[in-house]
Formats: sequence, C-alpha cells, structure tokens
Amino acid sequence: MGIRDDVRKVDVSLQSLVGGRSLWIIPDVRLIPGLAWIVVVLGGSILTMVLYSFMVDPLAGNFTVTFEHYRRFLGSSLYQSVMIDSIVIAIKTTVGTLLVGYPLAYYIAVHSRRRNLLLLVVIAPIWINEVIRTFAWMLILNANGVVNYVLMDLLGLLGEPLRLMNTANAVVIGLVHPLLPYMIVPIVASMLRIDFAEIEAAKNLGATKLQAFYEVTLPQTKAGIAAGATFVFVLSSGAYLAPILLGGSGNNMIANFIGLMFSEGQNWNFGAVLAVVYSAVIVALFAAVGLLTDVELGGATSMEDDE
Amino acid sequence: MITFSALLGKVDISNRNANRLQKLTAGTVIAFLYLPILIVIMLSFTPEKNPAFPMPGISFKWYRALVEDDAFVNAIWFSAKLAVATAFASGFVGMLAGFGLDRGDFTGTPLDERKLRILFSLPIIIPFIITGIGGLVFFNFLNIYGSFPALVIGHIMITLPFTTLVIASGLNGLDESVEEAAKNLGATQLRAYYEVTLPMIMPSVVAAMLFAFILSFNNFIQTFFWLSFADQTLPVLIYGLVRLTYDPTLNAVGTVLIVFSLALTITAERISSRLLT
Repeated sequence: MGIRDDVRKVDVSLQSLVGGRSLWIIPDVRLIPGLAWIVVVLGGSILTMVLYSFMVDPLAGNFTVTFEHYRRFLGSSLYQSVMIDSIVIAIKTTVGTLLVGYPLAYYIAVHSRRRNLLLLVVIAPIWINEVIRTFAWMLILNANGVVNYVLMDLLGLLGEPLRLMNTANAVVIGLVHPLLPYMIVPIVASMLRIDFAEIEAAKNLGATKLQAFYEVTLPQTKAGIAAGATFVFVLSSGAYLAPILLGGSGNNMIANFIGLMFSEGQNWNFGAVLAVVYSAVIVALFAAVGLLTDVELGGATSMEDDE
Repeated sequence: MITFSALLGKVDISNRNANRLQKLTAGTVIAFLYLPILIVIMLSFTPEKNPAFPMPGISFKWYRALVEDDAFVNAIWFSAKLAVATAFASGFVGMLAGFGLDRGDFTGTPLDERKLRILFSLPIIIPFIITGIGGLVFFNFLNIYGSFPALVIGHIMITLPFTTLVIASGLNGLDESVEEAAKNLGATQLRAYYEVTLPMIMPSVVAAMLFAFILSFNNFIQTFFWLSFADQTLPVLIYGLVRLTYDPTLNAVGTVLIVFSLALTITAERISSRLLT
C-alpha cells in the first residue's frame, strides 16, 4: 500500500466530515453549530419567555395555564397608552430619520465620487457605544448644555435656558441620531439601482429638476425607504436607553416597562405579556409591509455589485 | 386643480445652486452625525469639573482619574475577556456556518439559502429587549444565569449574524477554481482547505472576529439583563454612573471607547473591503 492510498483514505474520511454533506433537512453539516445557536439559544429564549406569559411559574414546575396577565394588560389603560406612546415615538423617529437622511443618501448616491468613503463615514458611528452616544446627547440638551450655551451665552437670544431634557422630543432626537445610518444605507442602495438615463429623459422632455426627482427618482427609492423605515421603526420602538436617560421619568417606553418587570422581585409573567404583545405588534408590521425578504444584512453587498 | 408635480414644474434651480444646496445639506447631516461624538472628545480634555464653554484650558486629569479608578479598570478587563472569548467562539461557529451558507448544496432542501440567511439574521432583527429578557429567562431555566459561560453563549448569539454573513460574503467573492486547481494537482481536500481556502478567506475571518469583538465589548441591553450583580461590563458600569450624576471621567472613557471602536471597525472594514449595514 503506497502513500497515495493513505492520502486518499484521509481524503475520503475528511470528505465525510467536512465536505458539505447534507443531513436531514439541513443542506450542509457545517450549518449545524450556527443553527443550534439560533434554534436552541434564540428559540429557547423566546419559548421560555412566551411560556411565562400564560403559565404561573414554568421554571419552578408550575405549568398551570392562566390568562390573568393578558387580561390585566387588556384592562390596563396605563400599559396600553405606553404601547401607543412607544409607537408614536417610533413613528416620529422614522419620519425624522427619513427627512434628515434622504438628502444625504441622495448626495452619496448621485453626486459623490467618494461614495464608499462617505458610506463608511455614515456607517462608522453605528459601532460607537450606545450608552456613550446617549450620554453625549445629555451633554448637548442639558439646561447648562451645548444648545443652551449657544442660544444664551453665545448668541444672547434667550434669558432662560430652554427645557430640552426629559421631554419626548429629546428621546426622538436621541433616537434619530444613532438610527440615521439604518435609513441612509438602504436608500442609497435603492438609488444606485435607478437608471439615470430615465432622469435625463424626463429633463429632456421638459421636466424641471424637482419634477424629475418627484416623478422618477422618488418612486424608485420606495423599496429603500420601506426597508430603512422598517429598520428604524423596529429599533426605535424597542428603545431602552434614550427614554431613560433623555426622556426622564415621564417618557418611559415599552422596553423600559418590560425591563422593569424582570428586575428583582417584579412580575415576570406580566413582563412576558408585555414582551409578547410588543413582539406581535412588530410582527404584524413586518407582515403588513411585506418586507421580510428584503430585511437582510446583505444589502450592502448587492450595492457593491451595482457599481 | 393644480397637481403637486405641476407645482414643482414651476420651480427651476440652476445646476450650480442645486449642487450647492445638496452639498450644504449633506455637510449639515454629517455634522449632526459627528457633533455629539466631538463634544464628548472635547470635554474629556477640560480641566473643569462641570462642562463649561469655552473650555478654560487643556488637561489630561480625567484620563488619569480613569486609569486610577479600579471600577473602570476591572470593568474594562471583564468586558475584554468576554469580547475575546466571544470573538473566537463566534468567529469559529460563524466560519462553519459561512461555509455551509456559501458552499452548501441547496437543491431540493426545504431550507434554501434565502431562508437560512433570514434565520441567521434573526438575532439582530428581533428587538434587543426581547432577546435580552428572553435570555434572562432561558439562562435561569438552564441554571447558568449570571455565569461567564452564559454571557459568552448569549454574546455568540448576538454576534453570529455578523460573523456568519461577513465570512459567507468573503467566500462568495472567492475564486473556487484556485481550490479546484490545487485538488487537480493532487492536494487532498484537507490540504486544499488549509493551504488554499483558509489563507484566502482569513481576511474575512479576522474582520468578522473584529466585528464580533466590538459588538460584544459595546453591547449594553442584553448584557444588562444577563449580568449578575457581582460583575460589571464597561457599558453597564457607564450606564450606572450616567444615571447617578455627571462625572467628567465619563468623557475620558467615552473618548477611549469612540477611538477604539472606530479604529477597530475601520480596520475590519478595510481588511474585508466590504461595507456592512
């Protein structure tokens, strides 16, 4: 038996180990560890949480089914209004990121020769710690913060400091800022797919720049806007830090109440109910927008292909 | 009845003014993105206890206060340990999954590539508060709540979408014919792997691990719910201090975090030469 045969034998056994075999419904065995994390850890987390919403104490072995906590939610105007307030803040944030982000997205997609550099500049702040970023907004919005310094001391426009902190608007500002990239990137991606000859054609046919934008560019970025809006809405509706640090006690959002229910000595069952109801709202939104297919991380890669 | 479009037709802007306006708005938005970060960096050098403008001078005393504060040093150490463990574990699991996603044979399986990509994106699509408290209940169920392994398991879940998809897209850009050539020249599957495929995707793997490191190091929401009272990660410690009172040391630690995060992720982006959303 020569060495080549040994080598071939090793090859065969390795093929069976790593060579992209499928197993049951899993197309490739190498997906198993990752899928285990998704199914066991993520799935297990969601499942145990959902169990808590309608069972007395599943961890302690008490599986008695009760809908008392769902009834409590349905009968509580406080928690229903918290849910609605959170959605209102999320809508304001989504509109805010769209209004602030669209012009920059347009500039990056249409005019800039340094598109990749600018995209990096827009995306980079995503990676900065969110506690620090929210803290930065406290420095800006405080009674003795940057905004009031500029308005009072520098420009002398005001005698009294503006009350910016601990308002719903502070929460919206503190959310628009970190979520801008999530709106800008999908819009840029959708703009890069536009055939710019169409815009030229519209202008040649007598349309002004604004008309060409409104009739040709804007409709073709709908998919990007929808994707960006979905990202921003989901992320902002579940905000935890901004409402606590910038909104003060009067502007707590749903995530704060969910978190509160899971802190020491609180009501896990009711917290789970809030989490389930909130998730249901988000899922309904996803279904309504019908975006499930577009919401992937791969958006940026397809963008590079287009260049 | 005049339509909105027709109304827009009445306004015509010269090319020069349109360009100016677009540049101005783009510049303003970028300033808005970076202004808060710059303010933290600026205030980290103020000699005053309270934020005062204009700054009366330059001082490094808050950086000294930072390195002399045991609470900060311990939290940084704990966060670093957690992030390194997460980067290696998530990098490994993500590399396997990335291979499966890019090289798997999806003919006739109910789990096609699109579904798998959505599955692997779930940990970042699902709101963080849900995975946060879900993990809290699940780790209690497993009786590992608050332990270091539980934190690593959770952080692998949070970072897996990034490691998997970065490595899968790295493999996607790889020329498979090189690997085929190695095999045709007599290399075994294993040798082709180690000597051809792995070196070629190493940049993606390193980039994926850097992303995982920074995500784990900076994670707040989930870690906040998964952490035992005995331990503190840096973001959780900072959160506690921010809620209490204004402490200028926070600007110093914030500046360190900002510079560190940007340096690491820009390096990772350079290495993988792919933009991440």
